Order: sequence, then C-alpha cells, then structure tokens
Amino acid sequence: MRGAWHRFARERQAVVGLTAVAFILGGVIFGPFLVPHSPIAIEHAVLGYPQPPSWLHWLGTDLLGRDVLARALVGGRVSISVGITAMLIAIFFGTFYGAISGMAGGVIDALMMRIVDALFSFPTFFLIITVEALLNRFALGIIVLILGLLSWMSVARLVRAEVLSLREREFIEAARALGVPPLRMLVRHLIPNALAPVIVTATFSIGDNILAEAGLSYLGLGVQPPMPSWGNMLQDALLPAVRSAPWLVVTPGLLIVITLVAFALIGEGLRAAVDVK
Amino acid sequence: MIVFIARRLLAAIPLLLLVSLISYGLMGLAPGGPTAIFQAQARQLSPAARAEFIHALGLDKPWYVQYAYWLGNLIFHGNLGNSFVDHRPVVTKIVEKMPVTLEMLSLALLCTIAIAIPIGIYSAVRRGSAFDYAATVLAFASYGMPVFWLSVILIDAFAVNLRLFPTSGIASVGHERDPLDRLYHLVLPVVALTIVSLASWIRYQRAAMLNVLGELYLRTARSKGLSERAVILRHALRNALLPTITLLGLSLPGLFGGAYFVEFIFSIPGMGFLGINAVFQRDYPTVMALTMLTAVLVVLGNLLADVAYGLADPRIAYD
Amino acid sequence: MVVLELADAGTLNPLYSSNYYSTVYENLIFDGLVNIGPNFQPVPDLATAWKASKDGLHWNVELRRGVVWSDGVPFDSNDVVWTFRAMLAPDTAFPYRGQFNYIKSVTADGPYRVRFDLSQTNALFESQALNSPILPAHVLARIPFKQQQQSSFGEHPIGTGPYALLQWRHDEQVTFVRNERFWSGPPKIRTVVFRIVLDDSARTDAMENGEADVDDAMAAASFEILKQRHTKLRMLHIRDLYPEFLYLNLTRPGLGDRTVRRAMMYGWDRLQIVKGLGRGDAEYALGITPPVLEHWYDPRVRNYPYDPALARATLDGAGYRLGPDGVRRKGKVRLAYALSFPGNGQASSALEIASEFQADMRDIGVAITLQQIDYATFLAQTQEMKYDVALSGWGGVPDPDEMTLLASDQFPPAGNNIMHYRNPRMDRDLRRGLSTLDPAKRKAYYDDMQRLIAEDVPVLYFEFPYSRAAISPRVHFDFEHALPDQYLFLNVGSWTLQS
Repeated sequence: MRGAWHRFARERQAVVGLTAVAFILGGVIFGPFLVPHSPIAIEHAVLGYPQPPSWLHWLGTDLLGRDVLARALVGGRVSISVGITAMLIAIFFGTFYGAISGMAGGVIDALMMRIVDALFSFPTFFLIITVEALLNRFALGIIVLILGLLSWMSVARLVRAEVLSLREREFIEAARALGVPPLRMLVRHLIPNALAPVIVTATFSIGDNILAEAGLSYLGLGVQPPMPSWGNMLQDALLPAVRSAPWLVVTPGLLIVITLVAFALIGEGLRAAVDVK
Repeated sequence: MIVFIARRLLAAIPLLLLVSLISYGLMGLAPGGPTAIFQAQARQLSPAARAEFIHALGLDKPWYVQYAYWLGNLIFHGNLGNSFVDHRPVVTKIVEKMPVTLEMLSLALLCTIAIAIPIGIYSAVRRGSAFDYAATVLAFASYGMPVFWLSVILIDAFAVNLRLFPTSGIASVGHERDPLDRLYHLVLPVVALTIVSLASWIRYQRAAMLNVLGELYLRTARSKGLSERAVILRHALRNALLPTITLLGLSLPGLFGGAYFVEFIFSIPGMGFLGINAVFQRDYPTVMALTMLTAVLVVLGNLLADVAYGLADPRIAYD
Repeated sequence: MVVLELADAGTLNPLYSSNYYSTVYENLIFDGLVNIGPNFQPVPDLATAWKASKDGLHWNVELRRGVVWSDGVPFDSNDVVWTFRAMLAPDTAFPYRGQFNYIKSVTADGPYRVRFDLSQTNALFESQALNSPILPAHVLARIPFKQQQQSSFGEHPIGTGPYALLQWRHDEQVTFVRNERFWSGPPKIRTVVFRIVLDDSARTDAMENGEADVDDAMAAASFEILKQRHTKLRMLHIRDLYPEFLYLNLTRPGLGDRTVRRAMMYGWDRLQIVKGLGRGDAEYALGITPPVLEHWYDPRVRNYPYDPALARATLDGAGYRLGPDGVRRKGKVRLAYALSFPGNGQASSALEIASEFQADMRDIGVAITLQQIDYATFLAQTQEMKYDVALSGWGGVPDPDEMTLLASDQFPPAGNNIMHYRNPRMDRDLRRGLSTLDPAKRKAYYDDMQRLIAEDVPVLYFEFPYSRAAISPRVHFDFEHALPDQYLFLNVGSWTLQS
C-alpha cells in the first residue's frame, strides 16, 4: 500500500490533480457560505438582461438576475455529489455482479454477461425518458440512480476480467484446496485484488457521470431548477438569448472541464500506482 | 477462435430477441402514445377518430400481442414496418439518414486516429517529458468538454464571428449533390466529434505503447545494428493495430449516441436525430428498428474487441 | 426564395396532416373555397360567393370558373362534393371529423354551385369548413375511403394552389415550383424552398449571411439580436392569436378555490415577464381572447396588477397560513404544486418563465417544483389529469369561440377542458355564441365570456407572443397586413423578389 502511495506521489500530474480536486471540493463545500448572494433569488428589475461581471456580482448574473458565482458553487456541490454517488452505486453493484460472474464461470457466467450485453445495447436516452416519465418525479435520487445504472456494466466487465485471471493464481488455488467457502473467497480474496483497476475506473467514472448529468440537464431531463447544477447552468447559458454572454457560457463549461481534468489526472496517477510493471 | 466467434454469433440471437422484447415492453409502459402527438397539433380529435387511429396502428392490443406482430413481420416478411409519423417504411427512413451519419462518424474517426496514434506513441516514447505532460493535460481537457458546449463555442467562434464555415446543415441551397460542399459543412461537426474522442484514443495508444516498449527494451538490448527508432516504428505500428481494433469495437455503439448532440446543434439530418425524435414522438417502429440496429452493432463491436483483446493477451483462454 | 423552418411535415395529404408544417405547405399547394385575408376576414378563393339561409342551416356557394388542377384537369363542384364526403366518411378516418359533424350533406347544383345542409347553425362554418383544402376528385375518387390513408397522394399531392411540389427531401428541405396554371395568374416567385434548420442560432446566422430569405420560426432572443445587428433585414412583429397560459388542475386541493387562483395572479409579475424576459416580444394578456381580434376583444375585465402584498393578504384572509417551511396550508390543504412544461430537448423560454413563476410563488408562500418533460409525456399527463399546473397555450383560430377549452362537456378525452372547469353561465355563453350568425349577438355573449374568465381565472393567462419573422430585403409583400404563423404564407402567390 505504501509502495502504491509513493508511486502515486511520484507522478507529478497526479499530485497536481489531487491538489486541484482538493481546491474544487473546498470551494464548493465552503464557498457558498462566503458568497453573499443567494443562488436562487431572482431580480425582477433585470429579468431578461444578464449582467456582466461587476464588483457586486463577480461572475455576473444570469437571465433571471441570479448571481452566477453562487450558482456555480452550489451547482458544483450538486454536480460533483451526483457524480460521486452515482459512481459509488455503479461500483458497488458492478463489482459484486462481475465478481460473481467471473467466479461462477460456465453457463451462469455466460448468461450474466449476455444480460450485460443486452443492457449495453439499449438506447440509453430512451431508457431515461421512460424511467423518468414512469416515476413522474424528478428527485435528485432518481437521476443519481439512473446514472449509476447506466455505468455499472463496464465495471462488471472489468471486475469479471480481473477475477478470471485471478482465478488461476496460486493463492486462489490454495484457498480452494483449503475449502474456503465461495462467499468468503469472493469478499476476502478476489474482490480486494480485483479492486485495483476498479479504483482507476471509478475515478474516471466520476467525470463521466458529471458529463452525463450535464447532457441530461441540457436536455431538461436532469436536475430541475431552481437547484443549480453545472448541467442546467449550461442549459440556461446556451439559450440563444444569452449565448452572447460569455460569462454565462464559459463558467459552467470551464468548471466541468477543469474538474474532469483533475479527476482524470488522479485516475492516471492511480493507474500508474497500482500497475506494477 | 473460429468456434469462439461462431458460438458468440449464435448466442447473439437470443440476446437480440431479449433486447427487442424488453424494448417493446418498455415502450408499452411509457406514458403517452403516438395518438397523443397527433392530438396536440390538432384542435380536437374526436373519440371515434382516436379509436379508429389507435385501431389502425394496432395499438389497442396489449403490448405483447403487438410485439408478436412486429416480430412476425420482421422474421417472415423481413419488414420493419412503417413509421407512425409519416407512414413511410422505417427502413427507407433509416437508409436515407444513414449515409450522413456514417460519413460524419468515419471522418471523425479517421481524424481521431490520425491524430491520436502519433501523439500516443510519442508520449509513450518520451514518457515523463514536457510533451507527455502537455499531451496528457490536453487529452483530458478534450475529454472533459461537454460536446454540445464545444459545438456551440465552435459555431460562435468560427461560423458566426470569423465566418469561415457554415453554421448548420449539410448542404448550401443549390449545392445539394456537391461532395465538396458537403465536406465544407461537415468540418465543424467533425472537429467537435474528433476533439471529444481524442482523449481515450490517445491514452489507450500511450498505454499500449508503454506495454510494448517494456518488452522492446529487453529485446533491443540484444539486437544488432537496428536503430532504436526503426525498431520502435516497426513494432509500434504493428502493436498499435490491436488496441485500435479493440477500442474501435468498444466505441462503435457509443458513437451514435455522441452523434446525437452534434446532429442536433448542427442540424444534420442523420440517424441520431431520427432516433431521438422517434422516441419523443413515440414512433415505435422506428425506435424498435434503431434499437435492434444498435444491438447488432454492440454485439459485433464487443466481438471485435474481445477477439482483439484475446489476440493481444494470450493469458485469456477461450473455452 | 428560401424559407427556414423548424421541422418537416409528416404528410402533405390534408386528410391526414399531422402537424403545423403540413398546414403551411398545404396552403401553397391547395386552395379552400374561402381564404383568410387581412384582419382574418374570409376572402374568396375557389368560391366567388357564399350565402347562408336565414336560419343558418343552408349555405349556397358559387364556384369560380376556369380553375384547373396543376395536372391540367378542370376544377368543378365534383371536387368540392367529394372532398367533403371524404372528410365526413368514417372510413376515411379524417381526424377532425368531429369538428364538422354538424354538416349533414353536401350536394352539387350544377358544375359551379354547391349546397351545404347543416343540422345546426355553426358560427365557425365559414372560417373552418369553407376554409378546408379542396382535393382533386379525378385523382382520389377511385380509391375507396378506407384506403385513402395508404395512397401516395401525401407524397405526390396535386392541388389548385399557387405552387406545386417539386422535390421533397425529408427533414432536409421541401422545394416548390410555381403553378403556371394558377387561376390568379402564375406567382411572381418561381421557386420556394423550405429548409429545415433546427438550431435557432443556425437560422439566425443563415439570415445574416444571406443564405435564406425568410425565417418565421424565430425565438424572441434571436429576433432581438438580429434587430440590433441589422438594418437591412426587415424584422416583423406580427400580432398573433395564440395565448400562453398556465393550465390549473381545478380538482387539486387549493387550486379549486378561486381565492387561491386570484392570489396567484396578484402574486405573479406577468408584466415583467412580457417586458423583461420576453423583451417586449409579446402582448400582455388580460384574458385569453387575442387583442388582434379587435372586433371581439374586450379589455373591460377585472385586472390583476402585480401586488405580492395583496396576494399574501388575500391568502391570509382566506385562512391559508404560512407554515415553518414557508409554504401555506389550511387544514389538510398545502399549497404545493408541480409545474410541468414540455421541453423536447430544446431549451426554450418556457424554462425561464417557469423559473420566474416559481420564484414569485415562493415569495407569497406557494411552493412550486418544476418538471421538464418530453412532449408526448406532457400530453399524456394533461389528458389524464395527472398534473397540477401546466405551461402551454391553446388557440390559433381567428374566432373568439372557446368551447373546446371551457365548456363543461369538454373534459378530456372529449375536449381540451383539462382544468375541469364547470360554470353553467359560461356553458350558456359558449353554446349560444356558436349557434348564431348574428355578429352583434355573438359579441354580447363573448364579452360576457371574457368577463367570466377574468373573474374565475380557470387558467393563469399572461401573454400573447408575437409571431416573429425576419425577411430579407429582396422579398416584398404587404407587410402592414401580414398574418401570423401558418397564415403568413396564405398569399405567397402575390409575393415578389426584387434586388
């Protein structure tokens, strides 16, 4: 473990990524308390006319007179927590599914993998619309669940591949010979050793989820106003009326890019750390 | 290997059936049906007319019966039905839209590969250098951009302000059959698609190349007379092939999804746009046809990826 | 001439037109007996004269002579009779058949005269029935009604109108070429191309670059941008017939109480939406009857100026007290509702309006959650009464009649009264207004209707968006009397191009 941390710290870009993420997280967690404006209060006097950055509003205001900085910070909270939670759901479910499939082998494995294939083939967009319409609600939890459900399949595949190659290793043979029950073998031996690539994927999947949330919100199917998220700030910003207001367009987009780069740098660092070659 | 491929293809059939069944079932659950759309634009659809409309489309039967009809139509008549929106054969509509999407996606893929492979390889060879860091950060930055955000910025910058390219569509009025004009219109969309796909390709090539270099180091130490560069080039390109195929296989299905945003913003009448509109309009036959097409692509893509992966890593035994 | 549109038509067969754009194109290809002219008054088209009997149950229509179809065959009363028979036959499955079920029979009285017999007087006969596109009997009569939908007429239409279809590339563009045999003389503009461009700013750019001549699908913002940037383009603001309002589900607790509805009107800054968010691209609404119908519009109704203090006082007075969560409640009734609006993936002004409404309501203690959903779901939701508040509109017909929306026998699926609004006096006004042809009597009924709407507030009305069009400098027509939306192209045969 300590060896891994050293390898990680040696990758300069990974450290940069970690610092950046720390900065971003600090900003979105504590920032909203420091900004004097509300992210949801509208200003009747300037309805329809976004204001450029000024001393009063450091990043200007949007179409309804709301302070962009406040919205960006609170929106960051929403987008990032959506990204992380969805990732956790996907990792949890995908790991168990993939490990069981890999360990079981044979027909069960084939069946489980075919189900994964089937799910991969679905037009995800369609799935989202249907699920949201069925539930008729737009709670944040639903969106997180949907995003998690869309990404667990690749985790499952990955874990299964790892488990398949681990299965032939000596210590597993030994454990089997000793009569260790399958569930314990799964939890104690297989999964911890399969986790390495999973952690790397997890880091990248946070970014994927943030992007997915942005896409969903841009189409109006994600986080609903007045709660800001980087995705629905983009939706507001790309309205024809305000595309000429760069502070509206650039802010959420740039924040998304920077956050994703930061997480990706960490991910790459982790990959180098766990990949003993 | 042949056996493996054959077995996978055979297993794909029940898979496709399963996909079609679930899709049809889901659509049955989704609220609103094609009649709803019809009604919206009209002032009023009399209950009798609505009933007739529903009956004509066979929508008054339970969804599993409709599914049986659809399946039977497909298997025995090779017919995917007619669209609810304009009553034209679904196949016609898809075939109309396919060339544009394919053209756009293949151009984007070509550009991506052409840019990503050299950068990935060079990054691996010069690992740890300033170039490597810069390439890494740029790759991630391009991955982090929401494609619709990027598209809008490209349009505003190059089409509106600099007036270098058209803002939308695939043809200027009067130049519909002109391939050069078409290319001209595809420049910005292809740029957008390329930029967002660069990241994974660059990283993948870099990682694969690093693997190769690891092995090459041991070998070149004993080689005679061949310069490092020649060896790298010869092996690099050969080893770039497999990961490329793998990634190609894995990214096939995703391509159509990514194409949607671009098609939407650039007003390109392609398959992604057809599909999403079909979903919004509850045009069941079109949605089903596109779902099946995607499923087939996924199966083929995964097969391709697994074959390539297996060839590259002999540890994975195919039973 | 190149026209930019938002979407394509489904079919060009008027018997089965599925959307707004079908209507636009059909107006180029087909004529009705009567056309809509300036100020929405009926003008002669294929009919030269039309007259009703004293009781309004019989109409005699004189047809124009010398008209030919675009394939050269002469037009006569057979075409009219067949068209209406097809529309009314159950086998044809003409979707709007219900609208015309007061027409008992249509008979030809010689080759240039047609007689309509109605089972009851209907004030909409002229503007709706006589306006229907006439179809060629010589092409379609040989197909049984049951199989009309399968015919290829929708892809290859033949009409008597100023233009004929030349080429149709679905979802890309539709090309029309002038009908040299058009009865009013061939149009001056030889070809009209409709290009489908989805992205709003793409259309804006095309207009700026001179790639297109007309854009009538502009969003408010693009309109303002073009207006500010360009002195050469002609920017038309056309008063329109289409009100936008918030439907209220009156069966929901709280919304059924008129005091709550009135308080919502006082607490919502609708004027600022029109002036600010809309940037003046709409008319402020005092009801749902369009101000452009100057003859029918009656502004002498109860007004609701923005007054949040009054809104709060009204709610307090009615017993709706603020809870600790900022939401008012009275007994078991909690003023919290979901506002649904259709998005279909395109960011639109609906989002801004909804957000603004949400903020204003929060100010007076009513909690609103937003639900952006796709169009099909939105329709299903509203039809099945599974909504609280919905943002949409209803209208577009140049007549004050609101039977389908406000009559108590028009609850869905029969009609569009998705509020479940029930008021016997309103029913009476609507019924009587529709069944007389005397304009003075009709005016009395519709004035009362407008007063009732303002009293009861079954919907929260706020604006009539202008129809917006950008026209390039080389296109000329009667701009003063331009009609909105699909009516814009009604006289395209007389438009001209000059550099």
